[in-house]
Amino acid sequence: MAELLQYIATGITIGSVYALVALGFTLIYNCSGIVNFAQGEFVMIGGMVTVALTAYGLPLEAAAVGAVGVSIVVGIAIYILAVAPAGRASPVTVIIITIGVSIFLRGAAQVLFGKQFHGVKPFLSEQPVMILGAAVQSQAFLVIGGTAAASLLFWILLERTLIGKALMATAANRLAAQLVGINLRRVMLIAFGGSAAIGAIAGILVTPITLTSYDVGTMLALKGFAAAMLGGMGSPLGAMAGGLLLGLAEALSAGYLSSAYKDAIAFLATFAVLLLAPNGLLGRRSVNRV
Amino acid sequence: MLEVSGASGGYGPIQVIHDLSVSVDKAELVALVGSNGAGKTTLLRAISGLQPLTGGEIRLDGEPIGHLPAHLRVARGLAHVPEGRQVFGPLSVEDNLRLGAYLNRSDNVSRKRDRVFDLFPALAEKRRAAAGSLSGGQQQMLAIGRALMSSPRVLMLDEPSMGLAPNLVDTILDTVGQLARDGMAILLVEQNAVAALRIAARGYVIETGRITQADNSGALLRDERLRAAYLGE
Repeated sequence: MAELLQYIATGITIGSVYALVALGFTLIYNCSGIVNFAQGEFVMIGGMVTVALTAYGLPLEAAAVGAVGVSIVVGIAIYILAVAPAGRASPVTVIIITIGVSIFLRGAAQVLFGKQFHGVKPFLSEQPVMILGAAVQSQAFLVIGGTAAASLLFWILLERTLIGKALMATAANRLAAQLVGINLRRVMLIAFGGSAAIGAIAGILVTPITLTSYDVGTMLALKGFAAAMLGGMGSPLGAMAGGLLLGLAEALSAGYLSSAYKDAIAFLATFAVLLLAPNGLLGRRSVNRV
Repeated sequence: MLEVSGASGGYGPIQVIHDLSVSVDKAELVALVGSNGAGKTTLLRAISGLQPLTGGEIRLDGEPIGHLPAHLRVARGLAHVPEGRQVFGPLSVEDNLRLGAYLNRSDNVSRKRDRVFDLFPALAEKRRAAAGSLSGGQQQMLAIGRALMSSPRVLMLDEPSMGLAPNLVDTILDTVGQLARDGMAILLVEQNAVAALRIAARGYVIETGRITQADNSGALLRDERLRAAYLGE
């Protein structure tokens, strides 16, 4: 029982990170049809910049804000320098561009921060909290709580503000969005900036647990993408659900089978779900009356 | 109010419209009729900035707008109800209308929305429904209502009668006629040439990307050759 609880806690924690990465994918995908494979690098930037700024003696809070800021700047720069110049190129072309951006960012991080792992101390205490025999790191609660807060904020932005509605309208119909006066360039800037902020928050929260290095983004992007597909590409709720499920599948298989297979199990589970439900668990089937 | 002169353009290397000139005055309803593929939709898309022209000029109130991106043309008072309605399917009717006034920051949005509901009472009953779940006729009303939310001075409609039952066609065209009488400049693109010319003051006939006839609609409706070609007689 304690064992199971332990695995579930781990699964939800790492699943939260996947969920945030998947949410970042969803935001950009919905507004542009582009899958931004540099999404994992935002998580790396969030962690790395926090590590670097605290090493310079900045308090943690300031370092975290700085890390989100740097990530947003990088996100916006990706749009302006790499994505926008591609103009009306097909989404596949732009996706390949984002893979190039991801490789570039990894290289830059390697030069700036080196190849070793970096960590920060847990924000609250290093003592784990005991719940029914399971030892849960205090940082895990921050990861889960932070993910919940970030996604709630995301939901409020989308559902309750005019600019959020403009994002949803662009996702639903880009042609009509232009015709009501929505500036597509501004929407894309918000999508890339927002997506970068979400990724950085994940990186800041999880770095005390998993550590970070220049190349953590690669696997996170794959897992986040799998989570987004699992939940149904384009659905924010699906992204959250997909991320948590993927994290749980991974933690449970690592615990009960072997940690050597955890990545394989997670991807196999995604593959199986997509065979049965090609639109993902919560994906909208494209039904529209004409 | 709206003047297009010498417009040429198309999709990539394929030129669809050649040296087209049309104009619409304030409180005037002008019909643009022609068969499928004649270039009517391409012209409207070029006027609203969805695709570039390779030549020619577009003026609104005498000022050139051809260089502006689509959203800034909306800000100048141009609205375009595109072919196939193109409502925001997952969003509610109210949200669709709210987005129609996206550039309008003032607080009279709800008053404008009520006016749209007065014009199309069927929409008021469905205000919380997802736009994608509406019938074709209701979606057309919503597309027009959404365009009206920006308080346009020039309204362009692309095939508003397409796929609608005859009684709905009448309702929608009556409303369009009323908008013109209230002072709006309207450019109406229709394959249903008789219906369009009946409510229009003037009409242009467009064939393979060129204007072949321009006259007042009474004369066009009486034209033998036109009747044979487009009016199905």
